[in-house]
Amino acid sequence: MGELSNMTPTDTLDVLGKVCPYPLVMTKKALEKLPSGAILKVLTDSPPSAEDSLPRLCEKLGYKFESLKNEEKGFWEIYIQKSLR
Amino acid sequence: MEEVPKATLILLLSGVLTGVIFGFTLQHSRYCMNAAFRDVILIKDFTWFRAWLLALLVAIIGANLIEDLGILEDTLRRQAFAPVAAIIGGYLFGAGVVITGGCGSGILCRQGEGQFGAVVAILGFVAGIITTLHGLLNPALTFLRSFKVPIGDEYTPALWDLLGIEGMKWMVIGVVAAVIIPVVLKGKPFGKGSRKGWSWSLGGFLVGLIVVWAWWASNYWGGQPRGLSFIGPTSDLFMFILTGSSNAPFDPMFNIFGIGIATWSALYIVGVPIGSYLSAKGLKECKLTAPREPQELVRFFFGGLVMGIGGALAGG
Repeated sequence: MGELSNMTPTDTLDVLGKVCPYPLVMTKKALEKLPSGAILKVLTDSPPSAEDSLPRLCEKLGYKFESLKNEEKGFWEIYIQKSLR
Repeated sequence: MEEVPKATLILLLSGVLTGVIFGFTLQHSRYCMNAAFRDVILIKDFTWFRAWLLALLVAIIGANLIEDLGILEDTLRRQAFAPVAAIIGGYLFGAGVVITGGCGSGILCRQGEGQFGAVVAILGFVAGIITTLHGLLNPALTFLRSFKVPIGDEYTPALWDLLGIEGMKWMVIGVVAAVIIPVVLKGKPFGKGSRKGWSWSLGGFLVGLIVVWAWWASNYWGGQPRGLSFIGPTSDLFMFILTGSSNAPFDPMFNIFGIGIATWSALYIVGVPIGSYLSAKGLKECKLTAPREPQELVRFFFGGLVMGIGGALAGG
């Protein structure tokens, strides 16, 4: 378990069953609504979103990103912390 | 069917394997033209845009090289410049891609990953294409494509025909390369990506090479240089499945074991989901999934339909 996943998320976004690009678009919108420092937990089973577009979104925005894959059930729990400004 | 040549085993295999290799490459690298444009706007990230530029450059150089070296029996089959059809069709296609979340090859690829939503999208896509190419919307296609604009006296113009001077082809390609190469290099194409599978640059490079390969293979086995198109060949495959004949207006067809007649290009459509499945299995990304909400399935079907109509209007 990492640093972010040990903390209580401010909000949870469940995009299970949604394919790329929806997890990216919805995560971006959800983050815009949250205050600085908030943690968003995203549940997704879309590999390109979990491993490609969401990490790049966070890299671009300078947000902390942590990803835990549930290998058995084939989905990811992603924790994103909106940086303090 | 007497006058239709019989498909040899090697012809069948060459078609299906072209699709398998393409599907494998798309899935293994996650190359996506939709992401190329979307990420630039949405997250100001140029990774997939660079991959697309790289594929484009390899395809332009390779395809024109094999054309000029006389390897093809014919010239590359360039399309007429029909701007009205291209703009309206292109807009509908783009809207369909966004609604569905993937283009023609993208949804074929997602079937291989086990996404049932992509199967529904394919049904809409096929319905849109066949309605436009062979059905009720065919008059709209004929009307929109009747506005052809020649450049000089060339009805199937290439970029260099705009200059109106003979022999400028490689000069123009050189300029395109000079613009593209620095943009691609800025993305550090030789660096290793953080995730499993292939890097964006390997994906883009291979997609370009497969396009060149398909120009050659469609000529050698398919009887005419047709390239790696998806709209026409999807119609060819499903017309073959549904009616027994691809009913292709311009492309040579072959007798497939006496079952029916199909074009070579129809065969690679079969191969794409197979290649994608093999890749997804290898990366442990193959899992049968379906959208939880019924309206998602409606969205997939509608998106596929709009994409099929738009793609067919635009000319592929």
